[in-house]
Amino acid sequence: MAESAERGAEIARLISLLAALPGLGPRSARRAVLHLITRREESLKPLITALTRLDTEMRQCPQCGAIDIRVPCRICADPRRSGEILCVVEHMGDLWALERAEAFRGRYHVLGGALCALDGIGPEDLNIASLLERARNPELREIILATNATVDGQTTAHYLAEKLSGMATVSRLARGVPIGSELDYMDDGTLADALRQRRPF
Amino acid sequence: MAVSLSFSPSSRPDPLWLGRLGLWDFRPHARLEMRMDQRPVILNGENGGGKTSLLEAISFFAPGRGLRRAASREAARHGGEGGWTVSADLHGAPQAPSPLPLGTALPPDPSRRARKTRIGGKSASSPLAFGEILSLLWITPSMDRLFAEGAKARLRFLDRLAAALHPDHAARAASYERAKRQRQRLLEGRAPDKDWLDALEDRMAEEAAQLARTRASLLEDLTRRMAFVRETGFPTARFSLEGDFEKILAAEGGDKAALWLKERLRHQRRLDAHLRRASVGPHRARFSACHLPSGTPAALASSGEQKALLLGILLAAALLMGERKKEAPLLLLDEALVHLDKERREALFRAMITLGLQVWMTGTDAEPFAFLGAKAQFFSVAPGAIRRVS
Repeated sequence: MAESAERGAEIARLISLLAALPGLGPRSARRAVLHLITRREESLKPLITALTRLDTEMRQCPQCGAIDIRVPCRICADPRRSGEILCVVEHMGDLWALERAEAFRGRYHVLGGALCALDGIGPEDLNIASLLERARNPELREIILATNATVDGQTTAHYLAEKLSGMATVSRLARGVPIGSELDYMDDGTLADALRQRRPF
Repeated sequence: MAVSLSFSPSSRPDPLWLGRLGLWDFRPHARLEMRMDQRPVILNGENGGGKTSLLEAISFFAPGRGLRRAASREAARHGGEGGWTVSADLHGAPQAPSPLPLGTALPPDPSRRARKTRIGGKSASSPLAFGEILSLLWITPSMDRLFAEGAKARLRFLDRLAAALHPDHAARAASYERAKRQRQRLLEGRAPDKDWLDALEDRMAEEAAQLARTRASLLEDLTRRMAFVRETGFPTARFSLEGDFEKILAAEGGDKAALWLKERLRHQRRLDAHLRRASVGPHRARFSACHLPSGTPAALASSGEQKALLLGILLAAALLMGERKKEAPLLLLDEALVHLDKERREALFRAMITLGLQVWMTGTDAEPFAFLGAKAQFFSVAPGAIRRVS
């Protein structure tokens, strides 16, 4: 209460909104707000413009489920991207991570999450119907299931592999020795996976 | 027989030890800070003074519920803001700077259920990360009848030993449990999706083989260290881990056992929905011990012998960890001297000193610990107050 009275209810509200964002806490939110209100022209106004634009123009790509201000999204619209290979991810963040790696030149499909019976997230809550639709395209050769290596991610991958069988070649990301790690300190399961998925030198 | 095993003092593994422990709003302690050296820590004081709470606070430097098996929120001090913090300086962790600051905290916001983890000043994604840098083992008075009651509690004890030795075991057990719970949720719902069930049963089967294998190899390793246990003066034990899945695993190997489990789970869906639990899998394994000196099942041994058996297993596990991980674990023994006669008490003290462990022990009076003398450090504990006695 003292905090609201001191700084004004609106500022306190902005601080609590920012503090609720991932990666931020009350302390960093206070610093960000202080920065915004003391640099109105160079920080606050451009931020308002960017947020407003995002709010009015942001769309979900009807093909892949990614969020962009273009429809279809930049990647689906890019003619240099291969339409023969599709990479299935859980979230936009995973798509961004794969793009940062600059190793994939095909297209994506964003599920919007993973199956989780405990949280009540079922197949109908994810972009699975549109994936099955896309998989019918005869041009498509391979579908890479790049869901997380968590229980929910792997369950989703297994579920999709079942649904996609007979359509295109279905693969998943390799699991094994992370770069820079020593075998002596690796867990048995990862080591067993790495052995199973070994390949010729 | 050569029972001095691998450690003369010169080859003894580096012990893990805490040099500082700080508590904020944890159980009865509003603020508490204590500094220790490498020796065993003896906490004395009246009932309700918060001795066990200090051990519980340390036990939160391991994944999962702590030594009281309480939800994190329950550890918050009444009259506090609803959250709590425990911090410590860890010495002796391999491949880490020493001292290494550790922290774990529950935010006061009641909507946040996960506790935060900090190691070396950096945030870690979950308390599972603690398993990578320190090994913690504990026993509490509630485990005094471990061999006579509750197969589940016994398996939990075995899994904690396994996780202290194999950091990935805790994560694997958590994955198995999560898949099992989701399967049950689907089975008890309306018209469960068969492909989804297949996918979850596949997850369970994949984790199951490795889980059961780690448990079995731990029991073999412990058995091989029974000579050391005999030398310490504690009773030796023979272990068994039985279950349908374990039988197939031993006979046919991991891949076949996983296939078998998948098939069984698929066939028992209707039954499991009715029973409201998965009726097959490594979670149904029965872990038991035989008290070798008397040749009787541990469950039939006297309270004192059962306690001694448990302590013997813990000492064997500590020795094993020293050999394998090149680090001696931290041991938390809550009211461990109850049920032990003078001879056994002294045997325990001698083993602790031989292994070079920073053991944390509680007891109302200091007198039963007198044997340790200057080989231990003594503290007197009251809510929010701690005083070094010697």
